[in-house]
Amino acid sequence: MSLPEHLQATFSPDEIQFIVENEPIRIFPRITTRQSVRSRHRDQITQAKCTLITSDDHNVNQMVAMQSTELPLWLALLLKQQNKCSIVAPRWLTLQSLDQSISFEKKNSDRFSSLPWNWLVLAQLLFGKAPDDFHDPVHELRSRIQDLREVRQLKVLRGLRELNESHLQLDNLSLLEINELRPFIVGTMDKLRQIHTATNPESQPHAQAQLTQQDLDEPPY
Amino acid sequence: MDISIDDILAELDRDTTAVDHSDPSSHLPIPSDGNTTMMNSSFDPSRMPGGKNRLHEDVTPQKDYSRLMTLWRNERCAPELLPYPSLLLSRMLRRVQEQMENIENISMGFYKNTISGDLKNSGVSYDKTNEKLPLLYMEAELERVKFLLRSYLRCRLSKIDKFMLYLKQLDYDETNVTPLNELLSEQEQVYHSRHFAISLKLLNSSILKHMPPELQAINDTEGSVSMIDEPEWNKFVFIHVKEPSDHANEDPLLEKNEFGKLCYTVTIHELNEDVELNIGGIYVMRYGVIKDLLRNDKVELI
Amino acid sequence: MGYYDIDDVLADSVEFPCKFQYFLPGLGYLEGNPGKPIEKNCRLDLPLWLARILAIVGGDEEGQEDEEALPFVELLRPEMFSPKVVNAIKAGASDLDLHTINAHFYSLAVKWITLFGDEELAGVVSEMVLERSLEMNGHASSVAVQAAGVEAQSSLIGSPFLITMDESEKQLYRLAHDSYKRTKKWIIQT
Repeated sequence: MSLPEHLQATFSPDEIQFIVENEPIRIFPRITTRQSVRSRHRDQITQAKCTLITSDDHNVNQMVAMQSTELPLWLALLLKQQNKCSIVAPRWLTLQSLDQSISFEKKNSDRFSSLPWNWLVLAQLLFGKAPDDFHDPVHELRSRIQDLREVRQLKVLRGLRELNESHLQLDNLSLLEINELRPFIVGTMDKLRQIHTATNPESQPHAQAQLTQQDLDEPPY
Repeated sequence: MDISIDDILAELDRDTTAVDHSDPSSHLPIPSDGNTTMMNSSFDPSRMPGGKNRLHEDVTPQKDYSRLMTLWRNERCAPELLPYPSLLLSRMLRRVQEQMENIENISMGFYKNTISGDLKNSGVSYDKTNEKLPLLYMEAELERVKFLLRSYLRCRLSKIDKFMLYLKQLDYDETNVTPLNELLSEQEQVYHSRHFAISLKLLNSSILKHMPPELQAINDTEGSVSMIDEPEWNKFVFIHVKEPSDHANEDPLLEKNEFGKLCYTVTIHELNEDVELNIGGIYVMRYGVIKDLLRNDKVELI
Repeated sequence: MGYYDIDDVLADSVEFPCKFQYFLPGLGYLEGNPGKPIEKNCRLDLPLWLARILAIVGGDEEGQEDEEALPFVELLRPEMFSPKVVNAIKAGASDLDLHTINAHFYSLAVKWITLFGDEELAGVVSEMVLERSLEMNGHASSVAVQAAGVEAQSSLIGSPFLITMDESEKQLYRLAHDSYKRTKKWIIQT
């Protein structure tokens, strides 16, 4: 009741977006918020200062048109919506970089490329809200992201064979990918754990090794 | 009579609204906990000329917010109820309150400025929409903070409901490490004991009083299944191993593995198995195994 | 899991074959003969919650202190854990109609393994859980998106595998499918 059931053990994708939106991103403002001493003398009307309680408000109050600065993503998207800035796409989000990532994913069957932890969410948000800020055609970028997602999903699917009652290492899996897989991975591993615990109910510290243990020291991915 | 679920939810929303206007303590200075002294957003050393005040270095609105984000995520992922961060929460609530007043003041001032600007007709051109921007940002930010607080408190409430008996039992357990008044906020304690009383009354009047006395227990743990639901301690959770703080070499838990990488070692007792957790790594682990690392802020749940 | 878990209560009411190890006067009503005794070595299906206690508690009050008294009943291996079923699991867990074998198969397997420390069964069931989970994941993650792009639905409702799932699998399927659906929906809408 106090928290809907589908949010009790995981996050909604919107909440993942909320988390990602706290991250800083580089922008080119189209407005100037920095107030020179001169203009303050010339006119009594000064713009209200923006004070923030979750992030440093220095940058947002010192913006100079066409001079790049860094803001939290949610703020940048808001400015973008008002047509007051353009967003600098991160370096990994170009056709060239994405092609490299895709080929890395294809070459390495046992690990993920080191994309940022928010790559999928960030890409989707920027495609949707700042499509005119890319140098590369957005539809091509979109299809690269889709390719990347699919090749990684295939790898995840193969990796799921390694689910066990002990633990997993999943480096470089991004937050949205984790969140999507969470119920399945946790649910299956919990079931395997329960069966294992049932074989030694007292759960002695020196329980005998048994069952079908994979080589657990090896990261499965 | 029709009662819409939306009304109930709206009611619930009001009840969990982050700022309690009737609570005078929210305007009082916050007691010191050693590294925290009175802070508010209008007096903030990090913004004062002359650089940072060392004493206050650890408390900034930014750090508080990102700490609350982490606590929210931990709370959502952890099978148990985590301790209530009372100082952090009172700072956040006070900032929300002040920001609301701040926004109100600015929007009144903005109105005046516009009028006088029009009357002056000074020829200085400025974009009126630009003037509204700071307000827009501040309101948007406020909504984000309110969402976070609300979602965090709701998550805690759902756990307090779920573990009603377990928490009650903890209260009686003198060997318990974290006393109930550190686990729950004052309001949460009131909520918990009232919820307990109401549930007990309902159970009693609907069924228990019709049963023989020996079958009236609601907290019998002797049978094959305990009547008290405990958190599922060994539930699997996703963890991210945090970068060590500046004092990494003073951390006795941190060690170097055979590849020279920094890691924490944990033991899965049931399997008699040691696992190295590399800094920066993402793992699926039994909650019980990493519980202490979580309390010590070495890992976060994701 | 837990005291108030309805699936756990239902699982506990599944009947298991038992063999009585005593002559018990007056208990004939258990096998539909009220007023008659239960003979020693009589075989009878009893719900697990009852069978479990009778299989643990010793029936001979005069039994020597140091020697464990023979329990009232001997709990016999039920059909669902018979070699026939175990072999069928080994041959292809995904093709198995688990729901027909028993709707609470997984839960009962855990209970059985806890009672008897049956490690062989634990190994077989672990393999089964993994194999069937992967099969189920394939179905759960297959989310069809309608042209409008808003409503996401499973294209596989009515797939033969889904009706073979036991209660624990159904529950996991719902959670997993829901998660895949929400994620896909978010990606399309953004």
